[in-house]
Amino acid sequence: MLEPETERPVVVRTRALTRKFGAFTAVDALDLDVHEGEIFGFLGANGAGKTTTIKILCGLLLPTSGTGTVAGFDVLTRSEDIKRSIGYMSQRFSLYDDLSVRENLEFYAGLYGIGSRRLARRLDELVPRLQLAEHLDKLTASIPMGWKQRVALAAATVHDPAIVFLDEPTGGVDPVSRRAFWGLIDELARSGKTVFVTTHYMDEAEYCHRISVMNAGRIIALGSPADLKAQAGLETIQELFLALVRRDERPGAGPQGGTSR
Amino acid sequence: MIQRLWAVLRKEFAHILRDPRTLLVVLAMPLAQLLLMANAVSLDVHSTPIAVVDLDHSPASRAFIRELSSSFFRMTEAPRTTVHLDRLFRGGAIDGIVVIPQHFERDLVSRPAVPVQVLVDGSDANTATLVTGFVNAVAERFSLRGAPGSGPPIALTTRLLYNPEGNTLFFIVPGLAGLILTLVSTLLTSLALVREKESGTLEQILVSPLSPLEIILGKVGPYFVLALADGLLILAAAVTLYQLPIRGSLPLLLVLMLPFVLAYLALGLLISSGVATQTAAVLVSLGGTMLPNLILSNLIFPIASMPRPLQLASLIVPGRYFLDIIRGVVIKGVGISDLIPQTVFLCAFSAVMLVISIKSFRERLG
Amino acid sequence: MTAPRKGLLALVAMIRKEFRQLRRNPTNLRFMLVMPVVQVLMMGFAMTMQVRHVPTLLVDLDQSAVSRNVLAEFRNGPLFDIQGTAYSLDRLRSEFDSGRVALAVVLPDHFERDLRRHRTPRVQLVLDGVNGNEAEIAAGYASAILAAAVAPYGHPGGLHRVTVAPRAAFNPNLHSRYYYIPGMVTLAVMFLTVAMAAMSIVRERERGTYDQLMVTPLPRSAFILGKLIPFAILALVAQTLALTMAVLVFQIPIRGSLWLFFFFTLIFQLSSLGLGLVMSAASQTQQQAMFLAWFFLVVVMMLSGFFAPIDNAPRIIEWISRADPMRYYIAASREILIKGSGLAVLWPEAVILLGFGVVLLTAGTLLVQKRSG
Ligand SMILES: Nc1ncnc2c1ncn2[C@@H]1O[C@H](COP(=O)(O)OP(=O)(O)OP(=O)(O)O)[C@@H](O)[C@H]1O
Ligand SMILES: [Mg+2]
Repeated sequence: MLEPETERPVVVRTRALTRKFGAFTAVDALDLDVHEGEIFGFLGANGAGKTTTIKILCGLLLPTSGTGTVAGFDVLTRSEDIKRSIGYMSQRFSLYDDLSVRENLEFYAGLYGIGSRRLARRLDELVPRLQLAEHLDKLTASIPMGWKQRVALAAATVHDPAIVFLDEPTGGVDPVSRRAFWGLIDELARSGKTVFVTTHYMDEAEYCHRISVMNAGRIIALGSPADLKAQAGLETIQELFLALVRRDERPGAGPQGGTSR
Repeated sequence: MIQRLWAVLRKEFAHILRDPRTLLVVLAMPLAQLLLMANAVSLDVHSTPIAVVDLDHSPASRAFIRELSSSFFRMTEAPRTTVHLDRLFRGGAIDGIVVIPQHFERDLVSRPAVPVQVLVDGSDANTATLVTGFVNAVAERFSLRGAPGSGPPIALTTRLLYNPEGNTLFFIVPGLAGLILTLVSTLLTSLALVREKESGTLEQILVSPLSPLEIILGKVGPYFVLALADGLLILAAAVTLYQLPIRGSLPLLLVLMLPFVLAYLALGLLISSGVATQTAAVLVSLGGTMLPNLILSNLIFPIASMPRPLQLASLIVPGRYFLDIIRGVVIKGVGISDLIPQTVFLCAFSAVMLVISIKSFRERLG
Repeated sequence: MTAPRKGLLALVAMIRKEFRQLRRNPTNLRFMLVMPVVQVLMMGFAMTMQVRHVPTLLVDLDQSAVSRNVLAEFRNGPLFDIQGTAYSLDRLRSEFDSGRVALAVVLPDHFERDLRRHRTPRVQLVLDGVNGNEAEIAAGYASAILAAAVAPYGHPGGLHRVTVAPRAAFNPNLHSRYYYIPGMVTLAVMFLTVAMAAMSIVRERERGTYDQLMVTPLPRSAFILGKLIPFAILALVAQTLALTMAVLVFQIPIRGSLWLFFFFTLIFQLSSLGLGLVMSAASQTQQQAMFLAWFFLVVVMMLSGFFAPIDNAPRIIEWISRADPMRYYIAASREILIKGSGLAVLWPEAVILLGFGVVLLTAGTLLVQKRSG
């Protein structure tokens, strides 16, 4: 990489972003900056608020208060513009089981206004990269989980978005497929895309350029995996994660690690 | 066993209570339907507007008109000629026109038969059939009184048992109650189960140590209760709103409602084990229950007048037997001894359905 | 690329996807196409108010030659199904209670003697009154048979009877089919399209694909049109199929313009799809959507004048029924197919239907949010 990520333009920015469900605060005054070309890992226990944050950034949910911009567009007012610049892979597998892989891709391409010629070019690129050729004409319901996730990634990136949000893309996927999948994420970042990814696998966190650890709606740590481990004097992200969450849940403990510098 | 069954039952009830919208739909909508349908499906000839054209203006013709109006129809202003009578139908203001010919009185004495013309709007063939039938009945009664100057050969009295006024609501309302019960039972169960199938939670329950019977009882039980509650509500509404007399034993009716509701719950179960999606469940439930119950149950249309194949098909429609039961108990006030064939059929049908559905349930998923 | 072109591409993609899903599920598709046909055929044969085969008990308390002859007249023709002859009144009530008979013709003691001496024997017709209409009509038939049978025993000169010569405008043979089938065809198709349309959006929600759609720039209008157009096309195909069957099997004369009929079908579909859309947007689960759909469909059907003329209903019901788009459609389709009326007569219905369609579709569109939760 030619320049440190922090000097590249910020493509996702939130300030005091908050989302409440009734009296419950799912996302609590979140401040985040994600830079172009970055693989940004989003860690946190179940219910920490990761999916909620991503949904706000994708324009699916409105924040209760605070601000956020994605690709320069305000999440409050410009969600339709945001949608043109991002790809989203939801936590739940959400392609059409009763369509073939190709039909799913054709469908999503159509939604982004990609005509058949451009789609053909795009498929020429995507299919070999994701090794989907042998499954292309099978019913999506019938292919193994690992491939389903690839198809979902292909659908989320079929329009070549600048920013990709991946919500637990490797849930329920075997280690070999997971490794391969992260290879794809890395390629995306190399080609200049920003990848915003959540995961519960601590080994995957090591592949990220920067990670943030969330607990109860707040960010309790943020930085590169190496820096964070060094700060805490711990060997693995796993240990780091456990220590952070434990410390945060002690009564009276404030947020740790702060926001980005 | 009881404890495990209770767990399933409680979960199912929790589902239902957690979803007040569905609950509201299930309880309130049948009532609303009953209200709207009983009033809208008015087969009541007493309020059918009829015009009479009297071209004779004799005592005999007036006597005939009196007979007409005292018996049935709502009489309206009559034009004085027969030209352009068809026009009266155009606005839909009138359903029939009776024309009494000139020399009606004179011909009654001198001729064996005097035709009275009835004009009806054939595009509404049912009302037309009813009106013609009724005018015919009036004419026959008038004839049997004998012509002026000659006594009648016989004196005919007509007695309507159970419903001397011929109130059509007595016929329609119990039928609707049966129809609504059917739909609630079948749709509710089939959707409830297929939803669990779609979301994968059914497998979770199936791997538990519950036996298929327990699962089914647990899943079907709450809907059974709901459907019965619906049945009671509808009956209560019918009694208060339409003065439907419950002449027979209410407990008997409720007891006989059990196999009927059970039959359709089992049918819903069978449907849900055979289909994979809620959409399919709805299609099959509507096609498999709504249609036969609407048509082949004596709800509105007499089975006896239908072609043979349909009559045979109606023999396996539980709704048909249940309508016998509900009309029998509510309107006729008969007891179980008059309803044995119907009861036997319903019990047998529901038992067979339950066995088949439990079996297919086990095969497909167990 | 321009925005409208992108929107169009998105719409085409939606429509294609819906069709592919329909095709992937041939059982549902077949059901949707075949069910209306079956329904129309069944109803066409079944829906008649004609009273026939009335289960009848002959009660002969006289047991004379004349009484036997008179009662024998009831055995002719399809009107009465004779269940037997009784010679006393003992078991009469129980025969009615069990539903075995619906009519009893009771000839009294000394029937023959009284008849011959012009002493006016009292003949009784006892009927099961639960279905009042059927009872009255059956009584009419029975009276006619009795009147004819006793005529020879009347005063010299015979009995003078008033007979009824019915004439039905537009439908001389009083086939109830003519009345029902245009409505039936629509109803069958509408049931399916509304139910399916109502469930289709909720289904995406239940399966999690809704959010995935909502993060794309797919315009809301394209989403809704893409959902509805396939059902509209399917409905038209199903309707054509069912109508063709009905016309062939029941030989229904089509007096008016078929094109006009299709035009009305199309504008009516706007309302029914709009209704489906509103229900879909208002529901969280398919179950809810289904119940809403079922409820409204039954109400819409009952208030439409499909089963019985709505003009005879109580004033308030008649008023409510004016908010029922199907009412206008049924009226128009009957006018077109049976009476051969044209747009000159039917333009008010067309305007009202269009109005309903626009209002319902707008309401549905406003209810569909491009956000989750
Ligand atoms: N629509 C909603 N209504 C009410 N509460 C909600 C809603 N959506 C999410 N929540 C709550 O907000 C909190 C955060 O949820 P979120 O899905 O963002 O967590 P997460 O970090 O993605 O967890 P996981 O790792 O399980 O995916 C949870 O406690 C959840 O129950
Ligand atoms: Mg999540």
